Parts: sequence; structure tokens; C-alpha cells
Amino acid sequence: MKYKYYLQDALGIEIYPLISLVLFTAVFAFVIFLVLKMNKKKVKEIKDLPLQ
Amino acid sequence: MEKQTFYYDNKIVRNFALATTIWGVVGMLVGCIIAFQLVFPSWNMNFAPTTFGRMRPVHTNAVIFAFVGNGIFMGVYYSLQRLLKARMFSDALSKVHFWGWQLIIVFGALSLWMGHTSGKEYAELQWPIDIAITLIWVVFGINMMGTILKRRERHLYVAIWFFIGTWVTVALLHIVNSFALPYSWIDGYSWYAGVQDALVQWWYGHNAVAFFLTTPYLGLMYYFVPKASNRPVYSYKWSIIHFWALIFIYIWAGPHHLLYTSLPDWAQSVGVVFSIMLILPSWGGMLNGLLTLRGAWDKVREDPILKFMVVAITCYGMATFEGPMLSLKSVNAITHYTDWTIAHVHVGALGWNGFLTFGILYWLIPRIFRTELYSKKLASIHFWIGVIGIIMYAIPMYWAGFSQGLMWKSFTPEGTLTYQFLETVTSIVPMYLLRAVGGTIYLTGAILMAFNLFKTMQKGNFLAEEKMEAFPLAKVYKKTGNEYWHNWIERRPMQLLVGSLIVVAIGGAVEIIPTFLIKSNVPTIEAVKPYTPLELQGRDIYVREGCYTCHSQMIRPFRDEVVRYGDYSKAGEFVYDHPFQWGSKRTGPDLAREGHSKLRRPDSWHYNHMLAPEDISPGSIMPPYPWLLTDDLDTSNTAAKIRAMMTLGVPYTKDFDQVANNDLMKQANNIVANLKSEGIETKPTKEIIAVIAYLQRLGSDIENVDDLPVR
Repeated sequence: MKYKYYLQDALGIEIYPLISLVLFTAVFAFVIFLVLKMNKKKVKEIKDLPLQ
Repeated sequence: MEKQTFYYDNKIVRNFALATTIWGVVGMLVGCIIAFQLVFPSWNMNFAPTTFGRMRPVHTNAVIFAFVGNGIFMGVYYSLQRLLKARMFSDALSKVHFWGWQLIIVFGALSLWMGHTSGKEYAELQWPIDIAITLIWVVFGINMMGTILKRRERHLYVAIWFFIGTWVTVALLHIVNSFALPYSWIDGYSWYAGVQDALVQWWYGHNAVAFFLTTPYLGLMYYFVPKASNRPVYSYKWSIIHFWALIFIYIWAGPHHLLYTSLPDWAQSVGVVFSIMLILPSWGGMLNGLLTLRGAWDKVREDPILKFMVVAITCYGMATFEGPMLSLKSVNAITHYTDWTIAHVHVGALGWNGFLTFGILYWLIPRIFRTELYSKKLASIHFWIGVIGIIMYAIPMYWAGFSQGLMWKSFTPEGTLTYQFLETVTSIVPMYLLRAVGGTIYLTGAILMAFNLFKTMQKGNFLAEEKMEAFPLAKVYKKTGNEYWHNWIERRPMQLLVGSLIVVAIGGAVEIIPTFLIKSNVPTIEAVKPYTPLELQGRDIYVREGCYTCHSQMIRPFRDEVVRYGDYSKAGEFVYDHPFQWGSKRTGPDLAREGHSKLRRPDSWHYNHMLAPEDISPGSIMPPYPWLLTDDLDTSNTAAKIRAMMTLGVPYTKDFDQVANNDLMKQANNIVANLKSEGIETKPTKEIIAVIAYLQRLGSDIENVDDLPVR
């Protein structure tokens, strides 16, 4: 059997897109949430790194 | 803890700077030549290596991998050392990286000129060079990660994440797309066929733009714009969202290159949705770059470096707005296969990549040569010449694209096509001339820059080893007050690398895995049979000469295309196409059904047309291919080619490779007899015979099949 035919036998393959959409939204929301909570002083410090 | 003394390696930075300057000029020069070839076909010089189909991949590869590639490495090697307060991990690896990359460029260009191509746009280099690229890319990765691991600055600035994301994604794209089965020491067939090959290729093609031309340059933007304006980036928080959102979304958008093709609809829709979503992170990043200059606009008026950077970022914004618009199906229906695409990529390449590279070079060279720029005035002149060049390039191309797209779709009140294909070409040739002039103006600016930089280097005093002092990192990290989550990953380069890989792999997997379920997604067509050995050889010549750079083989389901080229293309027609040859541009007409009885031309027509296209179709801008008529077909590799195809799953009968050449000669003799009856004397051993066999085969498979599976 050619390797490319293996995947078609994978069970529940159609759930992949769904999982990925949920994952993407979750990651995106998580990043925004945490970015909003960032410590301002530290941010300033990192921001200035190129100028040191 | 005591301060440590160490030295930044400026030599490697200078070398990459020289390389990007030289290859930039070379790549743009080839671009100008091919632009003029489209106006004056005689510029093809009746010589295979200088013919458009071979020169165009040399141009695209030179600009992407030689000019921008070396530009990336120049910027990375400069900024990485300074952001991490560490010398590069290994001088030896730096050298191997530099010389390895230059050798790849030289051998790559030579191999393309010699006609060794995989036939996949922007991934044309064949398997031995692909392996070399992989090895050198790994060397670069080790050198970069090694530097990160021995750093003296705990936090990884945002530019470095972009570099890490770039490295890991380009590795993934390159390896997956380059899978090929060799049949000789240099040539091979794409591992994938037809629809799968198209999807993998444009997943790669789109993300080569994303992760080779965009993300590393965003890293450079986040470092060099603050440097040049002496201001920190506008919003660091914004840059975090920019990074994660961009790398996550970009990878999904590839199918927008294949709208209305035989690619399954769901994949096209995914591509469109994610393309529209891309506007948000792209514009976030653009605004972050531009707003970094807040309060410094007075400087922009005087400083050519900042001018270059502002225009670069603005072009990035324009290109990333235009991209999603072009991926809307209704817009794409008109723009695809036209020069609009060419205008779009050049706003990105000339504006974003070109201008950012120029700005960085003007900033960096005087610094490592400890002097002032030789002539600020000349740099200002370069800036204006460059801007005029971009405008002169882009506007005629937009005009040509839009008008040709509409002409193709135009019908007379009686219901016939208003224009012959050739009419739509000859009407835009003046635009091609303006474009060629615009490109030449831009190139002139680049040459002025090379002169200016050379003079700067001459009067300066090169600082190869730049002394620096910094405290080493404490073994144990002490938290300073309130920590936030992103601090965690910013201190951990390996986790960042793995995180980036996971993020891009998700999009890649979702796009690609389902299409590998070939039976459910690609309806097979009984009548579609493998190519005969002669047709296969002809197809390989078609690929070798880069016919796909001007001719598509994909009829979209539009009234005008169906009337002009025949029934729309079905996914099942391409199952034996290693590589697929759908193309992305119609400088010439579509050839998907060139051999179909309704469109079929006599063998002698093809023979004469290849010899002198302008004689057969007055006004045609197609180059002549006289060598096809005189050169003998190499049949020594027929058996190897058939065996390779069999390994890839093409159902030739057992031991067919042994008799393939007999079959080949039989078909060749038939074509020669046919030509003779049409008044042309030739031998069955000539390359032209194979090309005719292939062209006459195109679209003839489903000649008499009424009941075609509908996509």
C-alpha cells in the first residue's frame, strides 16, 4: 500500500478541521488575555532592548 | 559576578551585506531582461538558457533566495548578536552557512539555465540542491539556536521570535514540498501528483512569501526601525499578538492560489477565510512599525534611511491588504492568471523587501565601517528613483491585469468571445514596455546604492571584531516582581521553537492531510490513462523549458474559459501529473485541452510554431524554440523515468520500462509520417516529436466521455 493511502483509513479524520479551529480561537484568545495582563515595567525593559 | 568581554562578528554581517547587494543587482537585471523579452521576443536570442521560460525561474529564485535570503542573514547576524549580547555560536558555522548559501545560489542558477527544474514555482531547484539547502538551513539553525543558548540577555526580543518562527517553518515547507523521486543524478519527479501536488506546492508557495519574504523581514523591522529612529517599538504587546496570530493564520491561506481550480471547494473556502483574517495581524504589524516613528516624522523628512523604511512598511500594508482582496473569489475570477498578480508580488518585493533591505544597508554599512555614508544625497536620489521605479512598474501591471482580465471575459451580443487570446496580449504589450522601463529605473537606483556603499566601504575603516562587555546570565533565574506568562516563553528559545512548529503544523496538517485521502477527494476518471513514454519525454521537455511560466493547464468553470479552452478541468484528469502543471499566469493561452479534437491543431502547426511563433501567429510574444527541432531526444533515461513513475503509483504494466523505448519509437514514427504528409521532413529522434506528442495528448483523455464526475 502506498503511504498516501494510509491516511484515508484514519478514523474520524473529519474532526481535524474542527479541532484546529477551536485550537486557533483558544490560542488567540489566550494570547490576548495574557498580553492584557502583562507587567508594564517589564514590557518597557524588553522594548528598549534594541536601543541598549 | 564580573562583566565578560567578547566581540561581535561583523565580518559575517559584511559578507552577507555584500552578497545581498551583488545578488540583488543580478536578480533585478535578469528581471529587467525578461521584462523586455515580453516586448521584444528577439531578446530571447534563440538560445535555450536565455529564453524566458528558463530565465524567469532564475529571476524569481535569485530575488527570493539570493537577494532577500542574504538580506535576511545579514540582518539576523547583526541583530541577533546585539540583542543577545553574544558572539555568534560558531565562526566556522557562520562561514559554512555563508559560502554554502552562495554555492547553492551559483549552482542553482546554473542548473536552472541548463533546464534542470522541478517545474514547481519558487521551488524549481532539483533534489541534490534541495538537499544542500536543507543542510545549510540546518547549519544556520544550529548557529542561531546555539547563539541564543549562550546569550547574556535573558529575554528574547520579538525580532528573535520572528527569526525562530521563520527558521522552523521554512524548514517544514521546504522539506515537505521538495519530496521528489530521483531518476537521475540531478533530476527527479515530484512525489505528489495533480491536485495534491498543487495543494502542497501552493501551501509552500504562499508560505514561502509568508515565512521567507515576510516574517524574517518583520523581525528586521522590529529591530532596525527602532534603531534607525532611535525609538522603541510603538507597542510591544501588540507585537506579541502580531507574532502568534500571523504565524498561525498565514499557513492556512495557501489555497487562495487555487480558487476555481479542481481543488476541493472546502479547501478553497478555508484559504479565503484565513486570507481575510490575515488583514488583522498584518495591519497590526504595519501600524506598529509606522507608529514607532511617532514624534520622529521630522527626521523622516531628512533621513533617507527612514524614508526607505516608511515606504517599505507602507508597501507591506498595501500588499497585505491587496492579498486578501485578491483571494476573494469574485475578484480572483478577474485577476487570476493576469499581470495583476505580478503587480501584487512586486509591490511586496520591490517595496517591502527591496526598500527595507536598502534602508538597513544604508544604516548598517557606515556603522560597521566606522564612517559616515559616502553620499546622503545619492541615497536620497536612490530613494526617489526607487519610488518612481515601483510606480512605473506597478501601475502598468495593474492596468494590464485588469484590462486583460476583462477582455478575456468579454462576449459579443451574439454570444461569441469578443477577443482572440492573442488580441488581449498585443493590446497590453505597451504596458509591458512601461513595466520594463519601470524595472530598469528601479535597478538603476540599486546600482547607485551599490556604488554609494562601495565608496563608503572604501573611505571607512572596517571593524571586524566589535568589542563588547556584558554580565553573563545568572545560573538561576530570579523573578523580578510580577511575572507574566509570556516572560516564561521568552526565556525559553527551545520551547518557543517547538511552540511555533506546533502552531504552523496545525494549519499545514488541516490543509494537506484531507487531500491525501485521494479516493474521497479526487474523483478518478476511468478514461484518464498514464502518459505514453514519448508523451512523458515531451512533458519533461515542457517542464524543462518552463512552459508553465506562461501557459496554464487549468480551465476554470467560467463561461469564457469553457468557450475558449473547452470543458473545465476535473481533479481526476491530473492524477498522473508529477509534477502538476496548472501554472499561475497566462501570458499565453491555457493548454489543458490543446489536444482535444475541438481545439486540436495539425502536428505541422506545432512544428512550425515552435520554430517561429511570430510567423504562425503575427504579434505573438512567444519565444522561438529552434533547438527542439535539431536536438536529439535523450531516450537513455526512458526506462528509469517509467520505473520512477511506477514507484510513485502510476499504473504502467509490469516490466513496461523494458519495452518503453520501442513504444516510444513506434509513436514517434507515426508522428513523423504524419508530418511528412503535411510536408515536413524530420527524424523521429528529435525532441520536437516528443513535444508534439505531449501537446496533442493534452485533454484528449476525456474526449468521448459524457458522464464525467462533477467536482
